Amino acid sequence: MRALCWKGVNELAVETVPDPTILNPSDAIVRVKLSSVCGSDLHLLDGYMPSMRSGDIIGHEFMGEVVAVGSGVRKLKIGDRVLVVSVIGCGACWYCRRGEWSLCDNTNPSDQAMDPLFGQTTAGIFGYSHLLGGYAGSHAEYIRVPFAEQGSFKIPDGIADQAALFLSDAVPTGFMAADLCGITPGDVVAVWGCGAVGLMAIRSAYLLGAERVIAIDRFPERLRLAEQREGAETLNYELFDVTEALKEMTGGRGPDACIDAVGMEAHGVGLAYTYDRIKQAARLESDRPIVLREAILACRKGGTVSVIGVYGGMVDKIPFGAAMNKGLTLRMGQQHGQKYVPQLLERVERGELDPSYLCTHPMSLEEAPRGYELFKTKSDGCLRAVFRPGA
Amino acid sequence: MSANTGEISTSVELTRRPRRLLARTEAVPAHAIRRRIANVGGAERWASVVAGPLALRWAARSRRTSVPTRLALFAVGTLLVERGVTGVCRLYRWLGVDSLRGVPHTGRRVLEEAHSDLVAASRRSVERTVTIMRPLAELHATLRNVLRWPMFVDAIESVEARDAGGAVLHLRGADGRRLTCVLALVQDQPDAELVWDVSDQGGRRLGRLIVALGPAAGARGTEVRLTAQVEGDGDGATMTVASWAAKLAGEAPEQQVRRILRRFKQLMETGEITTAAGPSGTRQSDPVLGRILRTRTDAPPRLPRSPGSSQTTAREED
Repeated sequence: MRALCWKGVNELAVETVPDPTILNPSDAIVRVKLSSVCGSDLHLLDGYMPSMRSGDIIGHEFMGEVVAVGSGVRKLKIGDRVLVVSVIGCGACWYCRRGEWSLCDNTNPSDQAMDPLFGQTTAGIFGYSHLLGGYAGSHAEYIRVPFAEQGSFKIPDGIADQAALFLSDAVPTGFMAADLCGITPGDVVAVWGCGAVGLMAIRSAYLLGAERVIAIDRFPERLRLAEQREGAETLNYELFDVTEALKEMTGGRGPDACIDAVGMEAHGVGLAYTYDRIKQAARLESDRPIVLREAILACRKGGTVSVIGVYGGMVDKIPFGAAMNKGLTLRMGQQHGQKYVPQLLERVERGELDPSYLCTHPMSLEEAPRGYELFKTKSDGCLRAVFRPGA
Repeated sequence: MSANTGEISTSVELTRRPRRLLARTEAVPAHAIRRRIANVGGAERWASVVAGPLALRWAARSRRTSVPTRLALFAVGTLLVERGVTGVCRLYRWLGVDSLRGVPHTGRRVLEEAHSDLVAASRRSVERTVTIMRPLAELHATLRNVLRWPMFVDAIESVEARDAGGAVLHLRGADGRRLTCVLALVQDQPDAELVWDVSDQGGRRLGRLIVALGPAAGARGTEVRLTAQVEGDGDGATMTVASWAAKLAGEAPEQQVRRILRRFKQLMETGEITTAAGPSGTRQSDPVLGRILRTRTDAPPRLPRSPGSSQTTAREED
């Protein structure tokens, strides 16, 4: 089959690789119909996520058709149209049973690498470095899906492929970001980053009862989407001092909840941004926590900072004194997709959210390297490049 | 190391009855103890305090000395300062030398010697603990049946059961070396502890395997601690070199014990051994981290095939 492989920092190639096979009773093989780029892939591309190996197939947001199932799979059958959650959960461990699927005990075989780095080992993720399991990703014609009954969801007839695709990752991630905020009616929520996850977080915050949502980015077309499609007030951080602006926009209080939908490769302005660029380039810190700092400083006293943008390692100069003295609640994590997808499918069916507009650049798998280039440079208004490997 | 009374009494108790306590899942395992035991005596320590800065000064000032020599001097100077200030010499610890041996004990030294016994014990025993979301009795029954071990211990090539819970195991290491050992079940406390004596085919004792089980707090299932004890003392230097080499290969005893427990947990909780094996594009040369990470994670699992298990491998149908 054909697959998009990571060959080195900023180097991708479409290659012919062996087809996946069923290895365990709970496995399924899915023929990938649509597979999307994701902001977190850029950390792999830029070499900030450790443990990538040349030849790794990347991609983790996908939907397709079941073409084979293992002997232990009962709820899925060949021909089912499914979306598959990007995080792999076993469904049997203590964490999965609590709905904390991305903390699964059993799906990441790379514990020898992750334990020393993180203290414990979290769930495996498709196509997302050997630290997170080393699973082959979805930018391929076929993919092996372990624990298929837990991670695959049949798509109701009324939902198009293009909408279902984003329920694999962007929508549940954005929804979880808002869910972690513990929003109560009347809350003001600030969202940093208006990529697919940020836009979904804005919509989710409204769905969960927020009165106002303020979106922060620097790309006019993304801010326009946040305003026109999701109804957020917008703030361009290149034009305004974010903490000061947020304070004034919220009557001097600061937002009740702040969502970091950017993560480790945040951009910024001024001296602090230069400091982080230099430290990251010299490998003295792995992540640039520009948004995290701003969110902690901007958040109202006693508010919640929800971190859903991916961080990979060490950050520097976090105003923890502010977080402690202001009594902030910090909540974060990779998405627990299996917990959210059923209700999100219902919400899509009811028309409460429609993520299909996120797909701005559909293209063939052979064009994938160009798709990543467009996505990375955010040129041509690219929000998500979506490949059609099985087409 | 903070010397509060609570810690002293724990250490002394652990030293007095290490074997018994090591097996209990709630006891502090020996490998978690900080190995900062003073091993440099008074005059020698002062000499290091003086010599260290001199070496550093030499490294910094002497322009006629080559760069590698200056770097070596810098390293030596740093280590001398460290052993002078802390009383802990890394080289001595590595070589098993202790210039404080025989010096009359003071409070701190008593505590440190209590630790030193534990550290010595930890060289001969490896223990790791895991929590499994299954009832204790079920785990006990599975572990007691040696015929089921090949499902989660991938080094086992074959097992022959013997009377009274004993067995003959044919093992194969990652390096291809084969070993046959004889297990005799010497203790079987229902729902608490299993102990096997391990010997070679000639009857020479090799060590002991201890499984301790206990309920996990908060209805999280069962805590399982696996302890592997090896007979005899290894000397510091060779043990250290060997363990570094084994760690790089992913085959150090502690890694093996942890791996066995993780696979056992996966099998008991999900009914299968997790694997990330799958297709990939052409590999170029791997960075060092990639080499360490490659350890075993790519190997497809051997599916459970034991009496009573009917799980089979299905192949992809195109």
